[in-house]
Amino acid sequence: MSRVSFLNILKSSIFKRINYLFIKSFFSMKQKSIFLIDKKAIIINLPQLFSLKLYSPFKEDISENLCISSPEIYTFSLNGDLKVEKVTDNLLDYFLQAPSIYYFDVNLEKPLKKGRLYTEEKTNEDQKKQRLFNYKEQFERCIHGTIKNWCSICKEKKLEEETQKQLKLKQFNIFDLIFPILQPPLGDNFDNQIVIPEGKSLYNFQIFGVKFLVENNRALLGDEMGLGKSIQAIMALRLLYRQAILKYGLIICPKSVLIDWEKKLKEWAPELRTLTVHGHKNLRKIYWNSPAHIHLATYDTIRIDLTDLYDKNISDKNSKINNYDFTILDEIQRIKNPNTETTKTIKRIDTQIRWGLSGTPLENKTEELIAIFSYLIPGFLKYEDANRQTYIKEKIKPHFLRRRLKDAMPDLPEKIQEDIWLDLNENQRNTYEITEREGVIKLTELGDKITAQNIISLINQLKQICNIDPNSSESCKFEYLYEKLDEIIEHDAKALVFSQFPNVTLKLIEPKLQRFNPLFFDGSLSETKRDEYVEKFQNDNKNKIMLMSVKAGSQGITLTRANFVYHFDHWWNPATSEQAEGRAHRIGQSKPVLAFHLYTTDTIEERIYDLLEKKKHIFKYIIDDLSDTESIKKILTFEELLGLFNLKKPDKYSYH
Amino acid sequence: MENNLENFTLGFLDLVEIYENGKGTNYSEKYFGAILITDHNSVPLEFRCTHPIRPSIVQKQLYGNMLLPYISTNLCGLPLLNSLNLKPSILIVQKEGFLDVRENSDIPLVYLKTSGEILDIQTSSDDSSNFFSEFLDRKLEKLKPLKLYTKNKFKDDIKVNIDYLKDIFIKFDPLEPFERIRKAIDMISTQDERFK
Repeated sequence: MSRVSFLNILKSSIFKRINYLFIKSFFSMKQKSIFLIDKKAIIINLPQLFSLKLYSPFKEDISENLCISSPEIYTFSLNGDLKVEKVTDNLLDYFLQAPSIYYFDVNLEKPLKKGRLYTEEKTNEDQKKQRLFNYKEQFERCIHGTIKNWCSICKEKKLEEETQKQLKLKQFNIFDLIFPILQPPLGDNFDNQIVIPEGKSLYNFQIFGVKFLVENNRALLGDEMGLGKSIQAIMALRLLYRQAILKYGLIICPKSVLIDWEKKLKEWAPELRTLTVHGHKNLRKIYWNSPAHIHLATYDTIRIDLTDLYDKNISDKNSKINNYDFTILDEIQRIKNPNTETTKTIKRIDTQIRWGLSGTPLENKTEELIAIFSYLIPGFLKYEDANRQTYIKEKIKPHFLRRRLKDAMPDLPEKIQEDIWLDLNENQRNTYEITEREGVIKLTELGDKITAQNIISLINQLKQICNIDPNSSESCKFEYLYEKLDEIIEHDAKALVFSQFPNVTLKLIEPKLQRFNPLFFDGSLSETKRDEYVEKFQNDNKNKIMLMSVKAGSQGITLTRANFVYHFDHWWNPATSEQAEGRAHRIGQSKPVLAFHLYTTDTIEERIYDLLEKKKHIFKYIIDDLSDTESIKKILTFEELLGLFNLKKPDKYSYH
Repeated sequence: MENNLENFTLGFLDLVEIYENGKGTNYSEKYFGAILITDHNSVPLEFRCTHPIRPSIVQKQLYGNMLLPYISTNLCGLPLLNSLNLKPSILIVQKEGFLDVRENSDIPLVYLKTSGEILDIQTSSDDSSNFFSEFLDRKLEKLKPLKLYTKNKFKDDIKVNIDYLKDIFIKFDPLEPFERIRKAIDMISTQDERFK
């Protein structure tokens, strides 16, 4: 007799008797329940308690006064000899003097099941489609008697719906949060191909940086700009998340790099669920209260929101905020002033792991170092020691890692390309959206007469707004560049800034860059002036930056004094950007050239970028000297060009 | 074979036991069934787990040695398999309680032991002679040797899949995903009210 069948027999015999013998009014008894006399009796370590023989009163004996005083408990051994030992008396003596009665389920109930299919990743494709302009919707009438798009009630409702939709896309459940733990381990050297996202790789000095962070709960990574501090931090996070050491964390960064962090996290740690805390106050509040591996926010958001979120119910304004496992402060020198509200708020965030990132050379700025370390390791450095530079340097050594571009040279390629993603500023976004809406209406109204040139013209107009808003002069690209320039100057380096719109982009930013003595280089310069500017840039330390038209600056000249290149916008033909970078990346260049490509999210730039990413293979067939318009025709079909604005191909059309 | 290996998926089925007051005299345990489906590189594709099962003291006594096999197979293994979107090419288990899952499922099942561990099938009427086994020496890869078992009547589970398993298990340690499952359950059982 197998044990299973024994159990079944046992269960069925007991149930039959119980169901027969006990009336439900006496105890609110579930079916398949049995009575047991005193829990203590079971706790006794009986060798093999398999069966309970219950007191079985006759039906007529069951009354309100019934007291079960004579339980019978038997043990069986199942090895075949069927020895039955009556232990009731023993139990009665010790434990059952005043027996209590309760019931329990014999059957273990089937548990609920939950889980996730990870191959169905949430994408923001739907979001992107939603944001595309819809001509038909534009003139749809609403129930309030007006055009839906003009009706304030409908607009508010739409905004609410969009917010909810966005939240739904971004809200994570526990199965999203365990995703990093379910990933294969990264290993110490990241030598397993599957752990590094496809198409990415880490340099040896970066692997060293990752190890440095992983091994130091409190650390300052001070690598020079362009060496990938954020990537090293992200990889270190991945490692710790996969080991289940980290669960929730906070990354704080300047506004200009917020979206770039978001993109990098998505690219380098796709398994980590990040919530970028931005938008209006109520939306931010929801984000803060939503679970995620990482909350990503700007210094300003932290200052405004954390105080608001945590102080409502807390009387002590200095109390610690301790619901995170780690904080990463990008551009940590922002907290160098201990008296600012931002610094005070951040110092309240109490986490086990605290990493600071900064490209600014801090090693000789002892006061700034002391301020930074007062967050990283409170009490570690003292302001009285500010003059003891060697002492401070020595003390922070185990917690501070800084590599310069030239140190990393053996590892680095001669030219490094990096895409930087930025979010349009508020007014810039408004101008952009109005221009796009009006432009699409005009294109739609052209009907069959629409040409590629009409579309390209709108694209160029929008790209210019992405560079700088002509109405408000707001420019997220400029803000980013301006922040980086300070760092570049500190490294005694120089930068080239390229745009295809010198007169409507570079001319507008030039006045704001006066302290860097910019040189403006476009096609209108005479030969002599050109030579003079090149000479100045190469030899005069005063001129830190050159603003260049892509066309004028793409051939012939040598500007090897610069090793930072910024592309404010891009031609369809990527060879043009490469030619421009060639001004710095050529014989005579002694450092790696870092080329940064600035893009704005949720704009025509992103749509073009996505489209071109899918068509990378075509680029090699494009002849370099094609004009930009000619390049488009080689790269995109007319339908694809129309698709950038959600437009349909007219019945009759002409592409050429 | 290369194409097939690309599509070859593994299901790591486990029962995780968590002691609520720490293991000692005054503890109570809860069990979570969990399955992790991965591709041949051990990248997760799907994960399912049960809510906690808390056998009472009485139930434990009544089920005796059948408790874990019953929970493993009837309450966790089979229901979890039925709930999957992706059916794995093979199931990997490291607890003998799951062996009976194979009786009611078409999915091949392999019981995995580090070579040298004693096969200890207490809860089944089968003794070790009723098992078919295959030895995987992974010396070259500096990994511990493994022994794979199936019941004799399902020996094709190993025979048919052994080439794939050899290729896969030199890339990663098949016992490691069970550690991920345990960590994931640890997190779920502390962070989500439904699983506490």
